[in-house]
Amino acid sequence: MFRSLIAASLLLIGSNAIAAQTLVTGKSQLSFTFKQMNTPVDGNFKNFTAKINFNPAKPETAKAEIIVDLASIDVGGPDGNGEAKKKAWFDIASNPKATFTATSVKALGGGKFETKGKLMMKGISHDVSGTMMAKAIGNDLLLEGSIPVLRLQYKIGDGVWADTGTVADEVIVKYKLLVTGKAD
Amino acid sequence: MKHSAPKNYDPLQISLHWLMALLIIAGFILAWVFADMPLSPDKFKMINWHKWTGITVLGLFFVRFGYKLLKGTPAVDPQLPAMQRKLVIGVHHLLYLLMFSLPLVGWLMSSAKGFTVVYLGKFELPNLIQKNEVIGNWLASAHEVIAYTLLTLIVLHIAGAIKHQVIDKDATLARMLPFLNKK
Repeated sequence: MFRSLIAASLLLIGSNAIAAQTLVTGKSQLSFTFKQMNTPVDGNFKNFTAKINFNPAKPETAKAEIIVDLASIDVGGPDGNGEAKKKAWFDIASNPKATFTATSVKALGGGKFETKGKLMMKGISHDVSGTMMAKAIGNDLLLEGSIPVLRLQYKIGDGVWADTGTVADEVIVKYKLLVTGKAD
Repeated sequence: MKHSAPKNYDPLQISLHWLMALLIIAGFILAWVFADMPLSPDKFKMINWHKWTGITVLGLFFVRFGYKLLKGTPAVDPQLPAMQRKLVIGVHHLLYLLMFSLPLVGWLMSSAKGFTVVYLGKFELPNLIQKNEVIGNWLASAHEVIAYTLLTLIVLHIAGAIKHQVIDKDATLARMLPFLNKK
């Protein structure tokens, strides 16, 4: 009761902001897969925030902004994690965050959606598109999808690392976002 | 398995011996070089070559050991003192065991560290165990211990061969290097 009052008042206060729904961080994941000499390697970002307003019945009004704390990267080992933060890769000292802003969401039927947006990393912005599944879980909504990203467009893995024979250009970003609350 | 010991190693056994010897040495050199390298594409390449070398050794091991069981290998010189004969047989058995376990533990370690082995960059090998950092680090230590044990035995094995050739002046080394006989 008390919680829903707070939620209701937040809804009123924040009616102009994107977020009408709240991300359940403990049940959300942001991961990625890429190929290193044809060997699939998985990694993830531990910390990110997402402001989401998405009603599966009205995808055209969807809004989303996901901000990723790049320093929270885990590519499976201390060597790789240290390397990923360096200048040639994410250059975390100068660019600590990556931002994804949704521009359009289109229903493809059967709970599937096409998502388009702008991804900004290292000060470079590109249009990206992917697919997403939306599934209601009780009063919550699970958004699961993937977006292929070409790392070299953002100069991620610059210099000697630009060789795609060792680290492929394509990185599949995968997300599983559990949001609670009602969309506007 | 019962069989009468052959007089000599046949060409297949000799080829497998030297091919595996070269691959094992290459595996060691690659590991020593990449161990001290900072992360770079070249390091990734060398790690992968090292893995492919190891998997090749593992595959050839089965061919070689299977063939040994079928065909047998020449008997150890019966004139050797019993102690020395036991040592020689023991070293050879241990060499086989380590040639098998070193690449196998390397493969396990790769799986545990979350890096699937893709043989020659084309054939994805199954992960033998699930990703687990603690087990991965433990397997990495085991891989190193086995490697240095193997290296010690290889040195002993080479020293023995040189002793036969230089001190005993017998035909032991010529069994693996037939051209020595033709002189």
